[in-house]
Amino acid sequence: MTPHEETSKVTSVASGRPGRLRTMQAVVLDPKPQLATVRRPRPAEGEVLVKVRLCAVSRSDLDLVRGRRSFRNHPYILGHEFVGEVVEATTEGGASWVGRRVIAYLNPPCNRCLPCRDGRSWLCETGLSHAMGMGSVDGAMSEWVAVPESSLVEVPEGVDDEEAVFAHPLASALEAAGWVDGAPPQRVLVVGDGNMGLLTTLVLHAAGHTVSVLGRHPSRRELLWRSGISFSGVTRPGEQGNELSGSKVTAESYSLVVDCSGHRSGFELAVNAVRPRGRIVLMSRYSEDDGFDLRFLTEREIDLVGVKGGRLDRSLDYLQRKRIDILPLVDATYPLLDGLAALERAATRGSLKVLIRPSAQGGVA
Amino acid sequence: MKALVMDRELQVMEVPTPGLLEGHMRIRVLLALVSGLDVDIEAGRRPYSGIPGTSFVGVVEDVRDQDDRRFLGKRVLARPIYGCGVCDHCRTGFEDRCRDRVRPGLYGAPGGHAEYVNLPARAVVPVPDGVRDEAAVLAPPVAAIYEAVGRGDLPGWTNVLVIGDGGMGMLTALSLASAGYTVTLRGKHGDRFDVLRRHGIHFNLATEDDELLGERPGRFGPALASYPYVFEATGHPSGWEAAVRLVSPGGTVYELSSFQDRVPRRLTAVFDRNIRVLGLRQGSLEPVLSIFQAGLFDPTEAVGPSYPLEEGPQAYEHVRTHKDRLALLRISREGE
Repeated sequence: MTPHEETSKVTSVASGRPGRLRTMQAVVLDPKPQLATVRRPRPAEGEVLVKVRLCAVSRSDLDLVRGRRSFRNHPYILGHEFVGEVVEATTEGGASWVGRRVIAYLNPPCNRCLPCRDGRSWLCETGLSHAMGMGSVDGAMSEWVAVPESSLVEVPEGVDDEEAVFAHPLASALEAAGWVDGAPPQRVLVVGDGNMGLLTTLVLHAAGHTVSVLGRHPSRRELLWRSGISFSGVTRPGEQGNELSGSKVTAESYSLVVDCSGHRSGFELAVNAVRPRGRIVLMSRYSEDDGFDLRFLTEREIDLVGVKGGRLDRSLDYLQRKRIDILPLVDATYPLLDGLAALERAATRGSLKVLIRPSAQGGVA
Repeated sequence: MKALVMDRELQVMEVPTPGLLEGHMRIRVLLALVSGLDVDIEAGRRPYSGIPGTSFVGVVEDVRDQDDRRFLGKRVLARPIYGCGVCDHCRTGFEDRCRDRVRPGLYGAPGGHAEYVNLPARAVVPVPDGVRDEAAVLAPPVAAIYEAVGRGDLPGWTNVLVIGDGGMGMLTALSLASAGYTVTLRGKHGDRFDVLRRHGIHFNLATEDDELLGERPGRFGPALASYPYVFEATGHPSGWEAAVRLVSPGGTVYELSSFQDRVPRRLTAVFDRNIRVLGLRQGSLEPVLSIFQAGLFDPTEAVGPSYPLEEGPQAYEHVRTHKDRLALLRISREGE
């Protein structure tokens, strides 16, 4: 049996007498998000049962809620940026995980494709159809979640739950920082001041680079200035939608531009700012994925790099060494019962990381 | 002098031979390449009026500066791009970052589809003895392809997929095969089997667009696996989609098309599949000329027929309509 076959979807809205069933609360996408009482998952062979301590709302969760991406197989539980404690195992190997605090990759490695054999299972495309909280496998915006053993990563001591939930986006930010050529300080421009933009900015700054941020939220100025990072607001009077424009950046002057904007206008700013033979790192899915003029690629010999995901153990190690102060990126923490309010908050313009804590652990018969 | 002039339409014309400015050398053009770039100009996809021709070989016949006398009578290849020579980038050896780059035949200076061209010394490379004109004019595109190794982390001896079997695709496949790569060429024409077989290049025929995109398996070739290294050289809108789909996740696409078609493209696959796309256009000419001189690689099999300058429009016609998509203009002979 492959790891993928072992995973099983457990969502089914519970009926009958809740007191006799092992149920739990969960944020379910069906296809609109809703809070539901569902059956508590039973780990299949090769999986462990995790009691969720904290779960963050990720960009993919929001993309799914907004319909920017969609998987069939509704209903399913959202969420993969979680930290939890292993409470039950199904195999002998799994037993050693019991009692340990863990996070998990989106999917177990298939061990067949090129990226998996390369130790980069977050790029596995077979895995995408078995990814947590993305259709066929339930996610972690709930009290318990079943996770394949081969996806687990232990959270080391000294890393708080509130920090550990950042492991996924931090992994991307660290990958992005790896694309800076040359010893620090290099001049880097980050376009977009959402979670991903800020996180990447903090990582680049901690590495010793000179980072400028182009964003739409003047409120970020203070947060960044505390770390000595310059911020340029690109809002313009009477603007509408999510356009980024009116930049004060010198054209063709950066060797590395990171685009976390998620909008074509942000990408166009990045293209304008990068020097000939420079590099643009893409860290977001675009709201309208069409109409990109790519003549700049060969005209200016640009290196365009997509970064999505990275090594989680590396993130945790980075967090343990306290290289950056990540907690200011926490916007708010909601109890699981207010999960829908949490999603709404996370989707609000200008919000930062929203966390969900399933504190009241009810539902056990 | 006689020249091809693009002014709404391409014509052979008698134009005044340009006067020699300070810092320039007069080059009598021997042989020039007609490529997709020139055809883009002719078709109006690139705004340009004047003499086209980006890649050409000639003999230096006159110079203004004493320093340039060493070039007199020498065969030279024009650099496809050169810097302004005075900005910080140019003066510190990063001419490729200059913001006022000149590309003869595209912008900033007339090109080589003419009897004479005037260029500064920094805009030319001497062609070593033993390298034929036909090979030398191909050095600029071959140099761009070899940049994949230096700039784009292409490791040695791996499998690569080349998409597009037009002139640029053939040249890419031949260049990579000669450098030791195991090459699969995927394209819609399939009319150069003999050349490909001789060089051990696998061919994968995709006659329709959906085959090119990998939605259906191609014919007469190995089943399409996913390739970590893909060269996109179709010069066609479907090439981009095919490349970002056929490359394996986390892989690299080396982009050689210039997208003059202006078809807007989708980008999210680059993020979703963690792809790296590297735009290739130029590279160091000297090492490529040395490779040609040493007889390690003869690129001329990728080129179509040659035409005299008077038949320039026919050469363009050939590139536009023929599948091998590269032609030559034989403008004068050495020693004439």
